[in-house]
Amino acid sequence: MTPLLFLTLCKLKNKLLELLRKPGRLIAALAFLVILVMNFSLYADGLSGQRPLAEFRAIIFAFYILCFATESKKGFHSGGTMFSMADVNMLFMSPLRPSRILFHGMLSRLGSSLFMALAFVYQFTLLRSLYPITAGDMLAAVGGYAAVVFLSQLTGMLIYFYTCGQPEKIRAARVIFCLTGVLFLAVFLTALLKNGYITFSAAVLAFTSSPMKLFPVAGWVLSVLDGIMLGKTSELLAGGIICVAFSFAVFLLIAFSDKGYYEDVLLSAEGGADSKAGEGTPSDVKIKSRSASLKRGSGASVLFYKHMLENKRTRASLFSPSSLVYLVLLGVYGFVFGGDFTLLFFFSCMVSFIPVLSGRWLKELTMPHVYLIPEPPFKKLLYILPELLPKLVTESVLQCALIGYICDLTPPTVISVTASRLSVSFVLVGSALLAARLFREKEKNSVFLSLSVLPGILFTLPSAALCISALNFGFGITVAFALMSAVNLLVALVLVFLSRNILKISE
Amino acid sequence: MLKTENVTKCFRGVKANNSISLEAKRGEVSLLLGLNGAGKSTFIKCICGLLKFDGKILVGGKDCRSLEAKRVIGYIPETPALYDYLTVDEHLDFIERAYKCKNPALRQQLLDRFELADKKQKLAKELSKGMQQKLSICCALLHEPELIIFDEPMVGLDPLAIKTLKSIFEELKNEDKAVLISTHILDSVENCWDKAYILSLGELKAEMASDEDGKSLEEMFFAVTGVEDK
Repeated sequence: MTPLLFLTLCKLKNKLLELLRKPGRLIAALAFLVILVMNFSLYADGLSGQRPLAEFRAIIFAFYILCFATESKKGFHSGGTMFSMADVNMLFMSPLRPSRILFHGMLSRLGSSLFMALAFVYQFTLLRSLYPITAGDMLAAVGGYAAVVFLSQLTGMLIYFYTCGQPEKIRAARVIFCLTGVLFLAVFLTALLKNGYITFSAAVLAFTSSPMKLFPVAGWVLSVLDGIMLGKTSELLAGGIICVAFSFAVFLLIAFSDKGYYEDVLLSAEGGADSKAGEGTPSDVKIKSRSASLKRGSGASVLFYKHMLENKRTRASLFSPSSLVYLVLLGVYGFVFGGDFTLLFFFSCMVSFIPVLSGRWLKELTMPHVYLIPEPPFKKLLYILPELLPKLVTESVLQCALIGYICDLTPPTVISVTASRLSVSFVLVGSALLAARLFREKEKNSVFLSLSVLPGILFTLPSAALCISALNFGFGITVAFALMSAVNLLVALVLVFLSRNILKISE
Repeated sequence: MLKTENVTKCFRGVKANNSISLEAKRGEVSLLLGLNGAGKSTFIKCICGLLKFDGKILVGGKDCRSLEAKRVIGYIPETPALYDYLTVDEHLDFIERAYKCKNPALRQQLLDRFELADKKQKLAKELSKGMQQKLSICCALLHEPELIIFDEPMVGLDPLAIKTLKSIFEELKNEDKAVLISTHILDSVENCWDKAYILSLGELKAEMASDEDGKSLEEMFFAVTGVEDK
């Protein structure tokens, strides 16, 4: 057995054994698996939706483009995400060929991309209710997603490798990146305007037209997907060959370049290790001397001001690119589902998991200094959580305003719905806290996500039941959602109170 | 065993190492001394072939980035970075496979000396930081390298492990191997060195032999760098 295969198999074996040793993780993994199997077995043979298949392909293509843009642009500041510091010290120092190590890294990354893509399968139920797709089509879309993530990361690595952190080269690469986007926007608009009229179905057809399949990575993978779904062998072959050729070209360019790739990976891995340990601030952030110190806060409240300062330093905005994506998706859903309020509100609540679980507050629970500050644990907790509030409020207001516009709601109803959406976020925060308290999982991994997301949905059920009852008893939507907010708030407070001692000991 | 000529390393225009030339011979313990930020770790990473640089670094007459050179280098990094999901035993198995070496007696000896014999089935992430450092040392020594590079080796080790490590320096020297130790904790290497190179702000400021002057390492270091107590 080769050393690299031995390494991979040992890591896999030990991860599986650890799953058996930790009941919390095992339960989460089994729950994921059961839902996954149910998703397929219950709906694979049932009736499927009748909306045009082109819409499904357009949604998938848009998603692929988004993945490509977010993954490959990471190459402007880091480029070796497929290797860890352990790889640097153990693999790069060993007498194994750099090309072989790179190939191993790429294969490992492909494996983890496929694993990540499994989450995509959970959308099967919803998508099948709308479009005439089979389980095979869905699996092809999932495989396509894994391929897009993998190829986008290779693109990112290539960008990093050739820009070498030099500002002028980075600028040039950014220009090329943006020009590619503009070029394909022009291609799309040309295809759209060719028929002389602009409709949704015309836009969908233009978006998935043949020239668009030349779009780097996302277009090539769409071509493969089309080949599978529509039975077009030529498209399948063309897309597949381009993807494979691109992977090998990147591999050859990096592995056999005179420059070598070890330094780029080392600097990236060191940066990654620093930020994981919470030691680093982004090196490219220029800090003004007058804003270099923490001027406000005393006792537990210092945690809140520290978060605000850290968010400012990392340029975390109230309305991030991901917030914009969710807003656009909400608009698209609104259009596709013809203003179905329940569905739009449900979608809005579901995406509120992301800001809740990606907040700085979760990272803070793993920091030793928080436990050492001589203040009551509950008080510290109450000062850690408000960091989330501005972003949650901004997202809730914008998304609910859009829902209100699409569904033609009155201003008081929009306010009530906004409060409800915000209160759902609070329940999710409480659920995440309780998961951290009960299962001692504070790292933001898939296990923690499942332990907090699934119970989080359950905790919102009482308020949802009350809301439905209120509507059945003839109360208006405004009153029903106000009741929902009140119950959610109460549930959130109870959950936070149950987790009040989470900051007592760091174990 | 190790020869560097005019090694210069720049990070975005800043010279971390500026034209460093030195030699680490077989049967000698060479020290690389300097304050924090002097460029010691960067220089060591250049020797290990992890960073690009200008100049020349030869290990056993071969370019330091060649596979032949890698076969004879043992490197103990400043911070142990091991595979979380590999056990102590599996780390050593991996080294044996990667370097195509097998010496069960040496393997057992290393495990015993660094108190890892009863922790063979533990995952690296379950070990304390000190134990991880010990495992890192075992991994670096298992393939019997000719040039052993220690980057701040004493950090995180208990007194017994420090004592063991010092005796290992002595043994490696007696086995005619070249040892290069980078440190800023002068006490830890006071009695076990032959040659010392002092770096300051990325430049090689002085080169000393242990039999010169009869002064302590600390006295010589401060005399060369010119830094005093504040």
